[in-house]
Amino acid sequence: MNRTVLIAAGAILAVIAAGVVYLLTATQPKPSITVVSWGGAYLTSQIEAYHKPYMATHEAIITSESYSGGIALVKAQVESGAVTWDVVDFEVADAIRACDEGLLETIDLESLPPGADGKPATEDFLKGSLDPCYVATIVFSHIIAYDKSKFPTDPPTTAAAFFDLATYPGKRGLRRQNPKSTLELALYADGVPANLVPEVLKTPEGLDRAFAKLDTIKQDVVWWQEGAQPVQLLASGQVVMTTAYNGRIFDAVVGEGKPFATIWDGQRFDLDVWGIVKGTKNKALALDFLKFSTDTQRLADQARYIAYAPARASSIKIIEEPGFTHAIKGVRMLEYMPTAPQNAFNSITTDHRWWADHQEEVEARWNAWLAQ
Amino acid sequence: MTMTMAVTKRADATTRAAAVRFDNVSKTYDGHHLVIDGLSLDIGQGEFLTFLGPSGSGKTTSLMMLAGFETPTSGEIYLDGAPFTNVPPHKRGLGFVFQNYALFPHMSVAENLAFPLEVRQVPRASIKEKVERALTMVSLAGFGERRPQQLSGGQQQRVAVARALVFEPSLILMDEPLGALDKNLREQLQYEIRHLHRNLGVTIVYVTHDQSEAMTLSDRIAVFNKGFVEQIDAPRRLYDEPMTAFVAGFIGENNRLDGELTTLAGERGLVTLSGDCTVDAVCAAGLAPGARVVVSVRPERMSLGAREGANTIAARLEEQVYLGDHLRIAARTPGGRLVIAKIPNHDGLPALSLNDTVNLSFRPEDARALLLAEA
Amino acid sequence: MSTSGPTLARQLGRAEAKARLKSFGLVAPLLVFILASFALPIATLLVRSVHNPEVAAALPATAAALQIWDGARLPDEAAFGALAQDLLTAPEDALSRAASRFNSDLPGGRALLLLTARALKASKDAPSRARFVQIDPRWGEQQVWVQLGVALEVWTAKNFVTAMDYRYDENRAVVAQPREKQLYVTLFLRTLWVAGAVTLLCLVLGYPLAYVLAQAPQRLSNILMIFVLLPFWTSLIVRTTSWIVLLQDHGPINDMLLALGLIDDKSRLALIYNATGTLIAMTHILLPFMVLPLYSVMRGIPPTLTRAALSLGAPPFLAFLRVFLPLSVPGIAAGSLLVFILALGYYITPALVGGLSGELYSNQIAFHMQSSLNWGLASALSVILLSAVIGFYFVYMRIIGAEGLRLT
Repeated sequence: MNRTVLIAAGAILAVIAAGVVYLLTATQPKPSITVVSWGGAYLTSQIEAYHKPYMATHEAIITSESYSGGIALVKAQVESGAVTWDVVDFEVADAIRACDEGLLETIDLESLPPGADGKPATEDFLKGSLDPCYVATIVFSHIIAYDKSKFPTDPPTTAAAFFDLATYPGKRGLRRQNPKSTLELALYADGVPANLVPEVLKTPEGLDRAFAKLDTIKQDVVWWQEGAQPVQLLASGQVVMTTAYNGRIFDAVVGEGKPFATIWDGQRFDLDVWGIVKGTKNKALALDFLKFSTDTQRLADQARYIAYAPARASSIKIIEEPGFTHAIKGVRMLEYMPTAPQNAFNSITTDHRWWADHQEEVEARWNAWLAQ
Repeated sequence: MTMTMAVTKRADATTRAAAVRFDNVSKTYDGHHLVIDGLSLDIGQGEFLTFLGPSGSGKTTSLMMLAGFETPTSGEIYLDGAPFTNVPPHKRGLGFVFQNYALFPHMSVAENLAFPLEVRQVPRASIKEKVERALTMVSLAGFGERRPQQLSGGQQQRVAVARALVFEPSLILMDEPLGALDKNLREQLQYEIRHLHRNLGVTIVYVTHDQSEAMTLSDRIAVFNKGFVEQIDAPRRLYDEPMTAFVAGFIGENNRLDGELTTLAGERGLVTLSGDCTVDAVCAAGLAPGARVVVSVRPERMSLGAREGANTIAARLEEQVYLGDHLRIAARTPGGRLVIAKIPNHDGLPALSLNDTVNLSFRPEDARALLLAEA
Repeated sequence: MSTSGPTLARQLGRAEAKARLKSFGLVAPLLVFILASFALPIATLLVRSVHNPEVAAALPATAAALQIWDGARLPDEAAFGALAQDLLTAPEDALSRAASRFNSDLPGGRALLLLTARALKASKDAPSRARFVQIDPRWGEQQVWVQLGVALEVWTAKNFVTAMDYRYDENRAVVAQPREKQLYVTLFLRTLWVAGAVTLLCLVLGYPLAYVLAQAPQRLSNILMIFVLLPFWTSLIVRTTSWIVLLQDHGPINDMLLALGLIDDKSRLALIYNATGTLIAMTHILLPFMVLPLYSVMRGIPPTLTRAALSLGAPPFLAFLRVFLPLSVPGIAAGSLLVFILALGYYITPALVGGLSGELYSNQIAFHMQSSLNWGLASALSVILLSAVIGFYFVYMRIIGAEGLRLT
């Protein structure tokens, strides 16, 4: 009887001792952050250009999650206090709203790495791409794409062609859920000079004019919601011409050999930015990652994987070098970049601040217009 | 033969032409096994004919073919001389009373009764009057507004009967209509159905597996067994003069004494009961000496003690049950046959004790030698 | 003996109480679950549709000052002072939230509040009406103050006003939205129309199917039932996407019609990205909800009833019309109600295949939940939809009767 007790006690002690030894010798878990972004080729480009180099040089783990934009999920996390996302890739307008709603940590812009040429970050980054709430990474563009096989002779070259159903018959694709950039396109196509478009849109007459222009093609529009849809609509012949994100068309043309072409005339610049979710427990690491990923080389590297331009001047210099090509396809990337001089001739800058303030009002009218 | 047999209370029924004729009708569901095998029978105008038989004997199938819910595989059914097989059910114009009443639950009693009249586009005023009359006929006047679910089983059955009668069909089919009712109610409704039949003069084809119900109601009974009609006759003749061992066994109680027919003289023959004795019996048609037979004797035709001109069989008393109006005894013969007798209690009963040897006697005319059916 | 009465009653009471406690214990987990997952969210929804605390929480002094404002002219200096005090003292995140809410009442209101707060903090000037108007001239507009008053109401009907296509004008009167902003009433009516049409289509397609299933031998009907249930086992997105593939302009259906010469290349049928697409896809998805109750009711109709009707002289179609059809009404009622209510709330399918003319009420609810973040308006729209569902339920109960509405 006594023997049994002794043996049992010995066994228990041995297990405890083994556990203690294990705990002492086991490696400490690496710190980790969750970085949230759009999926697909865009996420891949970020992983290749940012995540992998960061993990190779730092004792940290980056977990990727994808989402479909908007700030609802971030808002829910912040308001419930259960913040599981650390760094989020926003469209700039969403970042502005998230900032207004108090959902983002502030970033000391002076602490961002200077450009390769030594210029401070605040001067090196493109206009409008820095804010205490966010730091831009890429410039993408809303462009018009069309199916070349549908217009073998006299292909369209201007934004006005999108509204010219007589010369270029066929369905058009437009983004459903958000009128931003579509209204600007309508004004530009209606003859408003590119640099005046944002101001004209702010007037009630300008807004009416934009809707009136859209009225002329409303019956022939197929509406899309996701970035992948325009490509699919073009490929299936559902539309002959559509608005799209320039990177998606690049993928379809270079990656899949689709007979699509881009109309750069009247392209609307937009930005994707990093924001840090308010209340994250990993703020220091998140900031470190943000600074790492927005230095000159990292931003330029991303452009080897996707046709979006880096948001700082020093990075753009790198991609303008003759030898800068796509990591897999080997094509020269500059040709496909929205910021390239030959593409950026008549580009429209969106006033994101105005949109943040008036989005609700304009969207109400947009939804009503769509339903009528 | 039919002409002379269907004689009970309605002499005129037999003299009219047959209302329904089954002419060599067969039915199979699977292509191998015949449910009905060459059925031929005539049903007289105004007759009450019952299809009686155990379940699976083909009686309900025959009724369904008559109603049009089943189609004969071969043969033809005639109504008033005209072929009937290809007439759809709703054009046959016959009343049908279902086993579970089949009253429409979403209609009131009056609406149920009005249904066949509305379908026939009888004028509205006339419908009301006929429904009232039919309800009165089944003693349910004033129940018209009720829903069928609010009535008792007996009342529902009366409604079902009234609904089958209200459009005055000349032929009414009833498929075990009283099967779901308890005994007292059943007897009462049997009486009522008889009464209706007598008053209305319609032809009724009735299906039941209850022989006493069949006896009570019918002018004639067709006894079904395995797709055949074994015998079709008035109840009395079925009982007294069964033509097959199955009929003798199915209708009423009987003693079955197995033996061999040794000599045959006219209707009568001698049957040797091995181990016991030889009895004199009326022989069924078609028997030849040497045939294996059963001698069927009703228990109430057995008497205690030997009698002049009667068959006598000795047996050892195994059981006696006093039932008031009669004494029921069971005795075993030396040859191992069990004999049941009912001794009427009119002059007092003899004092018997178990294991007494008793002589039981029965007249030759009460004994029927029938071909032994293969088991 | 007389004393045993009350004792007996007490004993009975105790025994029953024990049984009640036991049965309550058995349903308690479910009750808690339903309360937490169903009743509570709905209650929250109801409250959110009329509760608007953010702005008043950040600007309490202004709220008090505007209480006594007549709304006819610009508010007095005291109100400006109160607003200045609030803007200087409110915590930053509370002010951000308030500004965002104010923006839905007054476009640009977010920037107005935040920038004014920033300007006030930056300068030492005493806040006054003149100072406010200097920072932003809009503070001199009565309209701005009216909307601020609306935003400050903790309990508000403004979401329902918006949901009815009305708005507050500068005098705080409720007036109709201009035509180009009217949306919700049209959409609600369209949703009713689509749900009704889907219900009708499901009934027309599902009734014969359920009839065949109910008449078929059990074994066969079990196999056929698998095909009916097949849509249940496929994910909604897969089913919907399949419809996109099938119905698109250059999809198999149009190609087939073209090959058959029924249409030419210029007149390919628009089967998708419109109300037709919504109807087709929703009917397919909701069909089982119609077939199942119909089938179970039809199985319960004794076949002898149809035979009885035939034997009584009714031709087959009349027998069906007078006997089978009325008896299957509980199945029609249950199936229709189920499909109608589900259709009212559908939004994924309409969003994917509906185009513009096929979008439904719920798409706007989703939009305000996920995209515009106007949860108050989303709640008000949900409450309206929920009320409609409950309303239809009661109308149904009135017509069909409670015992008529059974699923099994």
